[in-house]
Amino acid sequence: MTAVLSDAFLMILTLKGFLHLLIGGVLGLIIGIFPGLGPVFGVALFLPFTFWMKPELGLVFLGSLYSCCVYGGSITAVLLGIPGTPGSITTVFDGYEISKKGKAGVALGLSVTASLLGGILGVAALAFFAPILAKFALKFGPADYFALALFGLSMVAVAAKGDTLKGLALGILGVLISTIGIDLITGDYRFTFGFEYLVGGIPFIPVAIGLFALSQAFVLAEEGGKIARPGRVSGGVWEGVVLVFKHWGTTVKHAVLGIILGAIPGVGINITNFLAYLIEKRSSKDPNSFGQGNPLGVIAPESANNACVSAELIPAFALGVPGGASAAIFLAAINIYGLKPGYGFFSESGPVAYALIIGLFFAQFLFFIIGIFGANYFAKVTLTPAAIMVPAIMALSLIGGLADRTLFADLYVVLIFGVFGYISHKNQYPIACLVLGLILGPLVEENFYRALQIGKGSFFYFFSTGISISVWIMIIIVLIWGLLPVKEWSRKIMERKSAPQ
Amino acid sequence: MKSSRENYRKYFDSDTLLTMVITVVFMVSFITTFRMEGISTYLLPRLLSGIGILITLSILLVKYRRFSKGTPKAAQSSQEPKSGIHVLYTALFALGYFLLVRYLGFILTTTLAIWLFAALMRYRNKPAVITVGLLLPVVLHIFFVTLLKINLPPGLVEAVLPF
Repeated sequence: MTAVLSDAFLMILTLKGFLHLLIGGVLGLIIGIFPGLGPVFGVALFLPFTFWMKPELGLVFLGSLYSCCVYGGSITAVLLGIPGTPGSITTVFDGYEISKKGKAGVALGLSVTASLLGGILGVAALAFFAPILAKFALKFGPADYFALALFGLSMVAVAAKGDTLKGLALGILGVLISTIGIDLITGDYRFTFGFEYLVGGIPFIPVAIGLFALSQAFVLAEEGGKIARPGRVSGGVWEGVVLVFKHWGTTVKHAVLGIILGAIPGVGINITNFLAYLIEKRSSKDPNSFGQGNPLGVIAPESANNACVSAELIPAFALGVPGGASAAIFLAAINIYGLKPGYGFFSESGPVAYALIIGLFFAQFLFFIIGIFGANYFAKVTLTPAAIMVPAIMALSLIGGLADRTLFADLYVVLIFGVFGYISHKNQYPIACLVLGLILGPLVEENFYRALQIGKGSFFYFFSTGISISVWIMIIIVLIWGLLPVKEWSRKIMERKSAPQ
Repeated sequence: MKSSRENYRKYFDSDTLLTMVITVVFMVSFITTFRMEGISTYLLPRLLSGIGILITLSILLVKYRRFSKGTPKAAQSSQEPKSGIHVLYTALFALGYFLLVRYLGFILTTTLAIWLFAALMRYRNKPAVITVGLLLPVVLHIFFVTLLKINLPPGLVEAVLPF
């Protein structure tokens, strides 16, 4: 273990390692600050550019970009009252109120320090729990993996913004798209319709770039104008830093909440952010002060969402089942580098895995330093007009689409999925489910046929182990929760109970 | 005449049309599986397509029931774009950009794209547009082609550049 860790440190502690960390972090902050462009956009867009990097450097670059991007959203939330990412929406409620009182520096200090501490605890959880879970996953058979993949899909469909049925439809569509091309068992062509391009299957990168990057260009083109007016940091940043350490109990409590929620597939940063804020408000002795500039209203969501960032990667690396779109893209990255998630990821390619974890750890300090000293400059990104941002995103989407194979046909895939992503986004179809289906497709198919072979064609084999039965029960509970109006029923029952006789 | 058009819009909004398109995709894939041989080739896609059809039809059914009941949720179920035509133009613009880059090269096409898009959006800060149009493609070229060794379509400008 010590040798693995020292190897990982040696991989990172070089000039190249530092540059990858720095460039990834700065790009992440810029993307995070720009409203509408979130962490998924960032990792999807820059994934193809990491193919030429060594796996450990590529993962460190993406990890730094991802972490800094999540924090970047808080800078505009605090300074301008505009959440850069959906994960920083609740930071606006109190963070911007503090800024309006002329203490933007305090709000910034609060958000950056809570993010730092939450992030560090999240990375620690990833380093500690992912290898343990991966070891446990050695006991999993094909039926268990099949059920687990379906569980991941159903959780994301239920938790994603929008209709559960729509999420399920897109998840299934994603798995179906992953079956396009050559059937690996018989060598037959599937759904190629005579197109040679489809023989190799639909490539993941252009789909992800189209869905998450180009679709945002359409959204920006529709909205037009520029995002915001310039913001200024005033007041003492260090005052905010000290306040977080004074409320260390709240910081740790919400970091633990973020870790637990992040490790559950489908929950993600957005829900964690809201839950942390609501829990803190409800447990407060003075709930009315929330929304008026209460520092705890900044500490709770910021600590939780940054802890969630690393925790989201736990099921992805340990089981190969990503908890959300960003984790799915990370999983795609490690597949592209020729690494396999699960126990082997931490045992055979241990130095690479721990290099990513160490990279994520350093990324927390990177955004802390940049956040404290450079927030003013970074906030100016929001002044870029849509008229310039849209062609810039198109240019980056083009480079990303061509980066992998230099096939012009891939650009049409980017465009088709860009339009599809935009229309889906406008109609509450959660596109994360499509990406998840696409990435889980090979896992679903491989284990489906392996289970059928072992079970000699019997579908009962899918319910033959304790793990698979437990996971199927969880799937049923999740689907009942998502599809039936359970919340409405429970509300009516409560109303009936509380009504006077 | 007007009310029939309104009814048409009410029932066939972008949400419904998207669901119908996804249903058709599932139906086509379901039918296609009957032309496949080998159980491993068709079994999972057929199952998925079948479940997909059931789910999308349920979405349409739920939506239709909401419409016929006139519940407020139906009216708010889809967030219509502010200007659909704007997005169509942007998509066509992206298509043109992707097609032209093959012939004109990355730098020239991107410069033209930035200038043209700013003109279409009626963005008035001309010095900024001209500067960004000239600098951004070159910076991207240096970063991605020279440093990261990514192959981008070359054109007239790339032939002149020393890097």
